[in-house]
Amino acid sequence: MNTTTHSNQGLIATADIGDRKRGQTVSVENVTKVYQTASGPLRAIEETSFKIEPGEFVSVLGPSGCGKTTFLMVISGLIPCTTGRVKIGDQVIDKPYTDLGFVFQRDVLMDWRTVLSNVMLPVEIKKLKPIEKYQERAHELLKMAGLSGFEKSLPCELSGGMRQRVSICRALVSDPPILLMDEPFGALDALTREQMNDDLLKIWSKSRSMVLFITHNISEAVYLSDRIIVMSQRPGRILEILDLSDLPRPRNIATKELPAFNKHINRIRHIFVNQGILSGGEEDQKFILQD
Amino acid sequence: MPLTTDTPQEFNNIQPGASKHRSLWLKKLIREHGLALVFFVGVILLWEVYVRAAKVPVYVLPAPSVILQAMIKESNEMLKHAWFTLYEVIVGFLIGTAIGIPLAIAIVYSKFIEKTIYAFLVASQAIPKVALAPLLIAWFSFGMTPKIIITTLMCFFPIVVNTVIGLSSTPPEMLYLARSLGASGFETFWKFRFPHGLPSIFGGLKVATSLAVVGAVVGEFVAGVNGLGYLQMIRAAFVRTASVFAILVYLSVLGIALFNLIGYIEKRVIRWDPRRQLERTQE
Repeated sequence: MNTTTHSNQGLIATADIGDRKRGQTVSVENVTKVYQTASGPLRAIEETSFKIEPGEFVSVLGPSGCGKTTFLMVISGLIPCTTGRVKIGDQVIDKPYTDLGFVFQRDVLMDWRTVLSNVMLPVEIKKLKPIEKYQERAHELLKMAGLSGFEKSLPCELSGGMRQRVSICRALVSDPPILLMDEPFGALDALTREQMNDDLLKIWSKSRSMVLFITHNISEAVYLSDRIIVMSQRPGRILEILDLSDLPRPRNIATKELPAFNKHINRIRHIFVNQGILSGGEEDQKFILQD
Repeated sequence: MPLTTDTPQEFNNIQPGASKHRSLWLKKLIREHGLALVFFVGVILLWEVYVRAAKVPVYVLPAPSVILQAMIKESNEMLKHAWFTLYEVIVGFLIGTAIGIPLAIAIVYSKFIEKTIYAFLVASQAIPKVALAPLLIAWFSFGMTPKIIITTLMCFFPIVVNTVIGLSSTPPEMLYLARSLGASGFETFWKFRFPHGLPSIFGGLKVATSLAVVGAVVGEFVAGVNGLGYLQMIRAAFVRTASVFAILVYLSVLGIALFNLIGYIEKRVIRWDPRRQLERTQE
């Protein structure tokens, strides 16, 4: 894993990255995951294959407990898959892949480190050089996230939304080509969540790394993504992959008023109703999707 | 509370500057501990009045004023013995910490040690350590060694248990983060698990300080030639109850001082708010 050189190239180009897509294709090939539990084997993921291209923003959308998180764990190499394989570029993932940023539902900040020192953690552990460059980038990211002036604060002095912003800055500081986000805004209130979506898009538009975003919020997925992978209940399998290229970027409040935006939301709702994940109304009735 | 209502007026007359800073400090002290202080003084007064009014014999329950006299009159001798006790407590505590924390780390990292030594350690807690004192005397004679060993045994267990709990409480996401950053085993320990466990470790150290005093005093009871525990036995044998109480006061001061010393170090080391950390760990 040649993480250092890769990240360095990205870093130097931060200012003029623009729309340049970088990094490597992630391919998930016939992956299944079975957990061995005390009450017997638990099928988390049925055989699944898909590809994500560099610079793409892809959401995985599905009901709670459908194995969405397992996907991220398998792709990042943190847990092995039972059958099949994951490839990043030409490399088969069989141990933790370190050239990526990870954002969890809980911010997982180090309470004993200042905000800046939290953001610099990946640089410190990956021993990236020169530190001054990365420090500059950390300040830049914190500024973009609206956290200027909080560099020396401790995490316990920040609100939930601010903490999660710090953890996003931490994931981005080494400028990784892949960003994995596991329901990052799930613990935030609805208003903060909407603001975080815009902040994320703003920061992402500057780096254009590949994002794999796990969520169970339909409108959030539609608003953020290029494509959405819709998953079934456990054992998780792909129900449909939606292409959202008819929603132009940059996205903003006007995007949410486009007919196409609501069309996608309704389509996903109908998939869930047909699956029995949503009941679709007071009475049990089957909806027929009109295209 | 008359204490708090009276103070602001008085302090307003003092000119600003350094003295104002001091008045704030005093105000804070009164606000936080005022009630405790009033209660404490009240209990002492009640005690004094009761003993005098009911004419309780001095060898049964001496009045606080008599105890204070004993504390002052015998202070030279008591302080001399207090040094021995303090020495045993500090050395025993340090040895307990020096063995306890590394052992806890080994327990967390090795299933084998957890299954053998830790299991044995937990089972051994059923033995009243105080009852080991005669054995230790038989093995190590009358010097300071057996007292230090009892002290070590007393503080050892809470340190080990709390360190194990602290080091195993790291949230799984934090360990995932460490691995996805490519952190080495040592980095995972030093930069993630250990600092996350510090609040719990300090909890163990604080419990250990009070147990350390118990250990030293018990050792002196059984086979002392020095120390406050020994002195207390002698005074009790001569029915000098006021002196026994005076020694009790010295012992409590010793315990409180050690506890607060650890508390002070804890405040220095843990600048974040561990209660919030705990809440999120338990979510």
